[in-house]
Amino acid sequence: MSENIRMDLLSTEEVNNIYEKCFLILSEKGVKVDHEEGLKFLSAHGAHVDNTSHVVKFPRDIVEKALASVPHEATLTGGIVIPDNSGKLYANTETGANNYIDPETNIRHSMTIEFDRLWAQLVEQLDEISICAYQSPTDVPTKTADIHGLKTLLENTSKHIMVHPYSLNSLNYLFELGLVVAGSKEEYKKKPRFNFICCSQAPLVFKEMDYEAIKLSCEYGQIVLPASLTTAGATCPVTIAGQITQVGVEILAMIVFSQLIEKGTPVIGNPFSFALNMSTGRNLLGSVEAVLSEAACCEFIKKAFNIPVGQNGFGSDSHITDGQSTFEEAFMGLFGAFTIPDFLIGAGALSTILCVSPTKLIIDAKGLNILNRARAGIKVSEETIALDEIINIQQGGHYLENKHTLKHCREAIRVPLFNTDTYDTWVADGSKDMHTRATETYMELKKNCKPLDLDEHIKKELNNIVKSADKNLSE
Amino acid sequence: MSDYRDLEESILNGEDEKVQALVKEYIDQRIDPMQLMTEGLITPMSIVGSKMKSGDMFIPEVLASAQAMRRGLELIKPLIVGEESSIYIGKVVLGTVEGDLHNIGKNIVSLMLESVGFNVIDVGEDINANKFIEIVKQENPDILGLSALLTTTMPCMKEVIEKLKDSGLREKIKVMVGGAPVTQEFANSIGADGYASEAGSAAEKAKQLLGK
Ligand code: B12
Repeated sequence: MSENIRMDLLSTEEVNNIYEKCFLILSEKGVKVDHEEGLKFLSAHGAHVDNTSHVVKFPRDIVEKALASVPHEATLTGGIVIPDNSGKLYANTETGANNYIDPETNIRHSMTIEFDRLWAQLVEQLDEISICAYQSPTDVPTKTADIHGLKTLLENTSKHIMVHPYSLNSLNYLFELGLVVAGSKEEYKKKPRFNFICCSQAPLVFKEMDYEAIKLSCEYGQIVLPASLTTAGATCPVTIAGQITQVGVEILAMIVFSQLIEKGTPVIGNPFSFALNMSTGRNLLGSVEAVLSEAACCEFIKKAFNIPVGQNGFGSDSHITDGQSTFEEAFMGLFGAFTIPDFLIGAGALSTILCVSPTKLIIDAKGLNILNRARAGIKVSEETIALDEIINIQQGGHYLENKHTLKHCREAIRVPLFNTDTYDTWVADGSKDMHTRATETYMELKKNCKPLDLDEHIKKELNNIVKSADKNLSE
Repeated sequence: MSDYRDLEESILNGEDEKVQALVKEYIDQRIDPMQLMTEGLITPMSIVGSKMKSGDMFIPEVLASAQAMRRGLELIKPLIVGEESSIYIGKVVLGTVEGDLHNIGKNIVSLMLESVGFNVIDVGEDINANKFIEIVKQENPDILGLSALLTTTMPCMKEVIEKLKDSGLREKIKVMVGGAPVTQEFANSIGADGYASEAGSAAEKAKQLLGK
């Protein structure tokens, strides 16, 4: 029996209510799909398509069939199956940042491909991070930045990869890069290497790239990651329940596309719910409303559609690792631990996903251990109530020498980054704050950073794909 | 505080019907339309602008005020003799560059520019360099504002500036750029005249570029 602690933000009636609204919106209002071939395909499979407005409406039975065929679990690289049997939470790095903070100088720089290399090599050494994404390098040809980013990850980490395409033209190259490493189409399908982001253009539009990304994910057998990135009050209703409903509709539509194209394609739901600073317009992910909404969106998706979900769990609106970023991480993280997600996204992120910091990546990775411990909850049994121990203790005595204490003393986790020393010991050790300690860990990890030992022919093939992308896509 | 306190209050409250009714009354009283416009509509909007900057008014409230102001303006415009340009402090063409569909930031900048008295032509998203040139020729703005949210679409800003030069238009207008990945350094490197990291400073920069 699992002892996991679970907090429900929505009641069964509330989930059902929103679920019905999703059906209603999909069947009566419809969504816009800017993909000609897709429109023909959807029409041939029973959707009602308006070829002028590109609005597609889905009768209820089509949607229900899709929900019946979508798998309830997904297997990531390394044999990680989500949802995890024991309720373990996995971690995914941030994606798409344009900037990074160099831990050695604390200076913020534009993203480089060299940093992506370092990022992947750090992730390779951090056991807590299971899914890696590339940041957006600015020193490679702009039209192929995502292709360069993915190639760099494939050369430097063996972990599962979240692929975030930046343009329609990149898609084929991205899938081909993965195929080279997999060796054959069969292997690629059998052991998917990618969670492939398909991000709607909220509200209710699927641009050509989104549909095409789903189509190709199905073809290449990669995991579809339908993302509905919404900003309350700007691209979805301002109220949290409204945000959940629209996110539900967009993700449900993408589940339908995927299951019509290839029944049984694994899908992982991923809302990215933002709030809006109503006086500046700045998007926020660390505000309490954004955190509540993100957790509630995930809960809805998992309960209503029964697919694995990823949830924002680490990002911050702060621009540096400081009190705010640490508080937001802990706050978001606790929601992640106590609600329903299978993995948390955004490790290392600052500046509302515009910047990453290796120091923060390390703090987030270590923090995951705390979250998983919290999630595991409290075990209540005769052994843990320890009645005999209490009966046998002398009033005013201590338990330090008890066999029971000896037996269980290693169960409490300790996270090396946290200071638990006395003041004097701390001063003697250089009065370091957590940021400094994480930076020291970074310096240690950096010493062991190295590329993967890939076959020469794989390296050559990867290079060839990037070269041809550069040639064909950059005029 | 303007002399048109009732109008000012209605604009601040975003009451468009009330604004229209009041403007009609003032027109009937044969108030000078130019004065009515600047003191009765533009002055309250600049109050809205500063309230937005100080965080006292929220974007949806500012939008409601701008809408109310426009409804009043519709009635006054036909009465103003001479150039339309005399109504505004300047004209801005604003759009998101080719390949980029992000528009939340651009829309807020547009709103802020309007609130300080600019005539803003918002040309939308995914606009390529040639299209910008065409629109500039057609609209003859004082300022061209370009927005980009993707590092992969930022180069289009440079392309627009190059094309403006090629068509002999560069000297005639000021170019402002912005969007999350854009920096002052980048703006300098492509030869833009202005950059701002958020809407409030974008409006100030625009005024400054025109010496207002
Ligand atoms: C919301 C959002 C979306 C929404 C946009 C909705 C909409 N209608 O605009 C959706 C979901 C549709 C979206 C789509 C995509 N997005 Co997006 N998105 C964002 C996000 C989270 C916030 C942007 C935003 O609206 N901010 C709020 C506004 C108010 O701020 P702002 O735009 O910066 O504007 C202010 C200033 O910059 C300035 N300003 C803006 N314009 C101008 C112009 C002038 C002249 C001046 C002076 C000033 C100025 O004033 C504004 C107001 O203060 C950013 C991350 C981030 N934090 O910026 C990612 C982000 C920009 N997106 C990203 C990506 C990759 C994408 C997609 C490719 C994803 C996909 N695979 O589909 C697509 C691209 C689609 C396309 N072709 O454009 C990446 C970019 C990475 C890169 N390569 O550079 C980011 C950084 C996220 C990430 N870390 O991965 N996105």
